[in-house]
Amino acid sequence: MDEQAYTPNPPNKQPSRRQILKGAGVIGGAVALGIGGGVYALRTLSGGSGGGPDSRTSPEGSGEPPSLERLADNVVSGGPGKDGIPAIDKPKFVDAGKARFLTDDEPVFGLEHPHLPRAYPQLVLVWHEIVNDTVDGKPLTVTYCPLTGTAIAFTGPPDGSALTFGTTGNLVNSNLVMYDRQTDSTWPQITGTAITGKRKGQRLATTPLLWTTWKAWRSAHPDTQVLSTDTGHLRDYGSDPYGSYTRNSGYYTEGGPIFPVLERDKRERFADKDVVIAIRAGKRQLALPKARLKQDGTVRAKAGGVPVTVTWDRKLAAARVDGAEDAFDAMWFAWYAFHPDTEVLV
Amino acid sequence: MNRGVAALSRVGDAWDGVVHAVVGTPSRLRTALAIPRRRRIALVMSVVMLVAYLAAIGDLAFSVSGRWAGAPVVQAAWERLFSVRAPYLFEPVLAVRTPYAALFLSPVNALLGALVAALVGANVAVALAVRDTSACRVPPTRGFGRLLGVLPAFLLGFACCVPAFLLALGTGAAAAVLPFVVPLRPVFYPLTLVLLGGALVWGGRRL
Repeated sequence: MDEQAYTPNPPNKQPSRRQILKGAGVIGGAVALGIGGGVYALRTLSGGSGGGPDSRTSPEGSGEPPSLERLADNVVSGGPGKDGIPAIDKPKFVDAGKARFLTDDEPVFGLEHPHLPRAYPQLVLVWHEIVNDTVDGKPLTVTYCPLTGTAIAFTGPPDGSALTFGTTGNLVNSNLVMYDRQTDSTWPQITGTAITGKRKGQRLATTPLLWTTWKAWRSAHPDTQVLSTDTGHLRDYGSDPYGSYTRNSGYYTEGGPIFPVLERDKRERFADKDVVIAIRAGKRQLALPKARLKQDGTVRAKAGGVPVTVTWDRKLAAARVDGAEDAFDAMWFAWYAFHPDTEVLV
Repeated sequence: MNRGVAALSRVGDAWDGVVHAVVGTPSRLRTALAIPRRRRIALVMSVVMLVAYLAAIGDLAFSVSGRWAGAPVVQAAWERLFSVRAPYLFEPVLAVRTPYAALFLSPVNALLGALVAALVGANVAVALAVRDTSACRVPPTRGFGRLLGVLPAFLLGFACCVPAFLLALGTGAAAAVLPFVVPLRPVFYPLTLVLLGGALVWGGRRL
């Protein structure tokens, strides 16, 4: 357009009706846009549709285990969309000798199976969080949440249904919230109990996974199969967006949680990222600092009248738990957020 | 004359001015790009911006230790062309690895990055033109000073890769910002385009 073609109204000229209406339209549009944007921002930040935090550190934490409803009300977006972190649905495995993408001190989650030991490398799971696997013809869902440092293998719900899982992209207590593709119920990983949907209240059974290193696992199980990086997805396996376990750096060791949690340990018995062996037996929960177990070798305790023995496997540098319903390594803040009534063995 | 009516009329005039400036922007941009030196600088800035964008979202990665040596050189997953990972972030469909650099190409991500990069390049060209045409009247750095004003605008473009991007700044920073940034992420990319577009129109008015 020619620069000379545009001449605004001279200052002293009587304003035309057209310009007045135009001005009113512009102001009206701007106000509507401002109100709409403000409402959207407020709704989003206060948890309208995608959920939102009550508060980041929940100073009014009740000290009681959060109910399913309270957990459901405090689901927040972690950033990615549903299945934005893609589960591995057709896992491929390679022999130990062909797993050249792993260095000796890389963490792996080991499944001790009499004929079929399997290693699930953390460097693969950090990009997928869920592997819908099958062992002996039965479904086995191996899950890993980098934000809470928890690797848990689920065998399925009490009615024996074969479920497969995906990521919702959401978090509660900073922990992965999964959904099952059959009923779209949502399940926080640490409790393994559905908080919404048809299966609300049901709990998934688990089978032990050992958090160890590739070298230790390979030595103990030379016949192991290893989850391959040929996942059907293109990812930069070997780089970790959160930090590094081999160098003890980044999110895994420093600071606190970055997403909201419902309960904080006011007594600060351990640092947020200290690893505890998290144990559920009967209706009781126990937390045993991994560092203490490493030192003592064996710790015996009772949880709800049930004797529990936790042993440090020196060869695998991993905890073995007998007598518990389920047990896994967890960052202290995460275990406490779900189980503020946990007993602590110190 | 009623003051309110006069104010409305002035707003109407201002709107006409904005529309005029927007309509005139392409021709001003053409004028700015008519000089080969400006074209070159704008192109270089656009390429730098695109590389930075792709690196920020993880689609382009570098390794001084050559950690991709031995990894498959080319892998493809074309069926995931429109699979969404997060708002304005799509699945890569082609991985090309050399020992020291790896590209995880998502054509959609590349297109979104190219759009931001093109707008940055256009802003640079216009700023250069403003500096050239007003060299006698204003200090020569002023055109670039204005460019600094659009810096926050294109930083917003990187917001599509939170939380990884924020985690790089430390868990404390991430914890402080993430709960507010993540829910608003869907508006960041369009906002980047609007702000960069606005800066371009604003800069072009001085030509």
